[in-house]
Amino acid sequence: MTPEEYNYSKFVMDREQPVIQAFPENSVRPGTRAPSFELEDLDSGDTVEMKELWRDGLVVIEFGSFT
Amino acid sequence: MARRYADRAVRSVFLYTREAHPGEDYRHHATMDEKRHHARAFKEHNDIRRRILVDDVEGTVHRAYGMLPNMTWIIGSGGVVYYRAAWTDVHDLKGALDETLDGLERRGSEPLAPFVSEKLAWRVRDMEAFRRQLAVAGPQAVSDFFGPSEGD
Repeated sequence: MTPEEYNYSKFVMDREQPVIQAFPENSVRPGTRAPSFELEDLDSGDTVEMKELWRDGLVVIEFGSFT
Repeated sequence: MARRYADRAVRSVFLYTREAHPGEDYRHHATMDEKRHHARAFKEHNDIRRRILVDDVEGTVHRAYGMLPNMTWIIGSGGVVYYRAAWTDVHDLKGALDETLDGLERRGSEPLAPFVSEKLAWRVRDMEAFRRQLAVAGPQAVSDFFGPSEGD
């Protein structure tokens, strides 16, 4: 998937449905280890390793956007 | 909710992804600066107090975790995934968080073993609220979802 395909300019339900249906198989399963990637802190601009979020306890991670 | 559970050493973060419903006022991201700009607007508009972490423009994290627009996860020490939800629902999340915390606390004194349990949950679908939310992005976001006549 190219960045342009990921960042589509128009929402299309027919494109979203397969993603919804694939979620149980195509995402990280409970009981397994979560993959860690780098993210950017919006306020500080610092790079954050995801594994730092769960190093000291539980973290709730909500995904989303303005739209 | 985030503040209530902060007393129990639970962090809460918001992970900013691609725009799910781009429109004239909040278009799709072509650069990281655009993504940051939208994330700041989201934070201000919704008075978000949680820490916001921004994924890269390629959506590396979002794609790895299933690419749905409003997922929620509970992850613990060592990266163990305790909960995944295809949609964020406060009631469902609260139940999962209470169960996870309860198990982690009790396992110190009881012979507990973890197991995976799956279910189909329900959420309230408020289409009028959703329409208002889409309108923030612009008329295109409304018409792309509801159809052209609905977006006029």
